[in-house]
Amino acid sequence: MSEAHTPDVGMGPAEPIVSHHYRTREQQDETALIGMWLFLAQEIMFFGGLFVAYAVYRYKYPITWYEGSAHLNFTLGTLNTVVLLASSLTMAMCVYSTQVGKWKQQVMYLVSTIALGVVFLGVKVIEYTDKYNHGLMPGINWDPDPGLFTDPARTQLFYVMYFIMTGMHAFHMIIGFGIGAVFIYLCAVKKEYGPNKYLPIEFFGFYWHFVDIVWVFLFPMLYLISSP
Amino acid sequence: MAEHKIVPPKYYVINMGVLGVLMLTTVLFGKLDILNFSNNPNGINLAIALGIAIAKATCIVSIFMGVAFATKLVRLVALSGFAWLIILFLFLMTDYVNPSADWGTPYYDANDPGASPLPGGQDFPLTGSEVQDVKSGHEYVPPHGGEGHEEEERADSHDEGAAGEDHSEEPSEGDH
Repeated sequence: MSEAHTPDVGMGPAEPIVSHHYRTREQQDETALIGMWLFLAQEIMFFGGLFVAYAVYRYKYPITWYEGSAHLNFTLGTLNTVVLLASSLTMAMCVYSTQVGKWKQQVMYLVSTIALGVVFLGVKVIEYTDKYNHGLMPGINWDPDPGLFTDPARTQLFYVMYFIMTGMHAFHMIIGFGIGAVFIYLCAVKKEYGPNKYLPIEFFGFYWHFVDIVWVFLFPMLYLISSP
Repeated sequence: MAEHKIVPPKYYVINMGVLGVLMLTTVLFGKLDILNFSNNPNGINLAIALGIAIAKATCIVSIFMGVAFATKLVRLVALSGFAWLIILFLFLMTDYVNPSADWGTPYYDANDPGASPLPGGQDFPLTGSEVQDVKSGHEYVPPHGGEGHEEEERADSHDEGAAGEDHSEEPSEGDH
């Protein structure tokens, strides 16, 4: 599967760097991959707890969850899902560009990934603002219209779960922006990564893909409970 | 040991197409309700939505994250996290998805604040004086409906004599 493209000049080190306690580069790479997946395993634990809490309360209060979901903006949720899936594609292409040594493409795809993430957060801000204006933000402005919900107290629980889960997801996106900004500098200015050093880019891609996977589960569980 | 593979772009593009189709399927089943499955919010709609989400996650993990092209050891570690999540869901939901599940939350009916759905009329978890009864070793007697709460209220400090008379030494009506 290796490409015949001649790597751009100056992209990363001229030779792969293998630490002295590894026999081969492949062993080093595999070790690093395992370490990254162990990090993602703890991220699964983090979001897993939130999803389980959601599942328990959805099982207990199905009608409440139905009513709460009906007032979420399905169109914006769908748009967010498409944006995030596209950002996963651009991130994967960035990793590929690094592996074959295409500098311009590497930087372009990385910038595109972060830009799509910013679009996602912008849509989230619009959604949160809308919820605040309609009095559907527990703890800050919980004042739904009378008669809107069968049981406003329990529907508040749905919105607590909604804001906590999407809020933690958005927080992870913001962390990704910070890391991505550093990588943009290292790729565009320093030309730090190339065919002989691409694992950091790949691992940032893992983090980004994982955040995408979390949203892939959040979208149907929050936005698609109710139907017209 | 296998060399770290470079995945050609066509795999990513095809994967993106598959994700788009799954996305469209999610929307059609979930929101447009084309097969009229909306009667039970926790029924078939949920199963289809979750199944499609798992399929999308599998596509992302296997192609975008390269697990399909990785070594067996990496695949094992990658799957272990998701396996843990499945174990968490299964074992936790068995605690709640059964008729005798104790939800551990106080029952509250705005129209009838003193009511309780539990036999004996007690509110769960133990509150106020009931906690002191259990800690002091006296037999805990659940109050009767909403009236029992007023009878069982006592001062903050213990009164063992009064507690003994109320709960263990007072003869029952059937003894006379």
